[in-house]
Amino acid sequence: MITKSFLFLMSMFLGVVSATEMALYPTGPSQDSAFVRFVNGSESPLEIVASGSKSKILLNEKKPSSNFFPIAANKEIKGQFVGETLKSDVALTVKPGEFVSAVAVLKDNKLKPIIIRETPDDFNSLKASVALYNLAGAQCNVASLVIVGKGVNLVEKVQQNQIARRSINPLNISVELSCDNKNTGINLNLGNLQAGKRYTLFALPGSKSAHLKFTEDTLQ
Amino acid sequence: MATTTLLAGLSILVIGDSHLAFPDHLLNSLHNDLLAQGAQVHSIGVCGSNPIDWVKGAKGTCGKAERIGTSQAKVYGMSEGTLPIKELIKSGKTNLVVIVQGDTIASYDKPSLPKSWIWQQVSTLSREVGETNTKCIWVGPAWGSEGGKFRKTFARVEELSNLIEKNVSPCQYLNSLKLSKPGAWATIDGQHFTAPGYKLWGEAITEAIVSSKGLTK
Repeated sequence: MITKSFLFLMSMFLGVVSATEMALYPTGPSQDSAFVRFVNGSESPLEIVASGSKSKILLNEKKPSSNFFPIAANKEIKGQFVGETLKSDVALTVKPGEFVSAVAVLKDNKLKPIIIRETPDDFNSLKASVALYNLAGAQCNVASLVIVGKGVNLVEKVQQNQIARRSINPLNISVELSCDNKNTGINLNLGNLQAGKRYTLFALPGSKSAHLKFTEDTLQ
Repeated sequence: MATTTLLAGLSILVIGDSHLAFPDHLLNSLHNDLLAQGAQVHSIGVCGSNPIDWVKGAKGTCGKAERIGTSQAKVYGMSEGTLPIKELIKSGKTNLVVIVQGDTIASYDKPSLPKSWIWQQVSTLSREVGETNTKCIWVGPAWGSEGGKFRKTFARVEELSNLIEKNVSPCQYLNSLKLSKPGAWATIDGQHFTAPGYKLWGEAITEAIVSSKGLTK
């Protein structure tokens, strides 16, 4: 006697029990997402103005960075950082999967955009991700971040115009900037870091010494 | 599966892609298995849907079907699409969401996984559910078989599953790759199973939900 379970078993081997024939549909985008943000790395307010448009964003002490905007990959975008007396054009292209930051820093009394590129693969909703961008020039040739009260480095030995990123447990921490193996006394409380969120600390040149700015990497 | 009352009192919303968008897929097998454990169940599948499509709602392209409780499956037109998850949770007084998504974001026909895009897709939907304080389980993609018109590979589905798993919190991840051996469930096109495969997948998902501590109590 042929049992139901025997028939089921046979169908598994032979594939004779068919399911619906499916239309071919995309299993993903033609290319990965691409993002860009604009950051004021100077000590005075700036605006970023999109080329060929009237849209602009104020970047000040309270909010030094724009959100990350999704843009078309491999297509040049242009804009201008505009301060009270200084201006600087910026043009860049973002590859698929990249998160690009255009950071305006003051150098020799001129605004200079520095382009920093990240292609992250550390996405993790159980961890907070914190990066250090060392853009402080000669004021901090090699930068590290020391966790205040712990005496351990959050990230270490970040060369000029380089970055380091680390995933950590979401905690309330303060960090101190260390330059060229010397503590600077420049501290910043990062507040309650949240799981799944990404953050960036910028080490930037200052009128007297390097300084830190902190932002959450928010998507638009 | 044996009938029990292990899920009695739960109102379960199941959403997903093509694996749930046709009666002979999980729409009947998983739905019936959850009903058999005493749960109230509302299942909606939209073929080709991406996770973010369930945040605000988006048009479909290749089919949609729905089941509510013990009623028969309702099959919609090709362009019928997704609905906002928060509205579905609210209207169904849902206390457990089951998300079946994965194969539509794998980019099987591309040389690399679009990690940034997938991160956006997965984290946005799981955060959206999390904001309602509703418990949820994200059912990841199953092995399928290599090749076929979608050009699925075992290596890519494993890479995708690992990425999804890291980004579903506050949902819990149900790793379908652990529910069978690669290629064990026969497919019609590399990606979609024959009816016996969907029966086994539905049973395995239900068993995992029943035994998942903290989700059903």
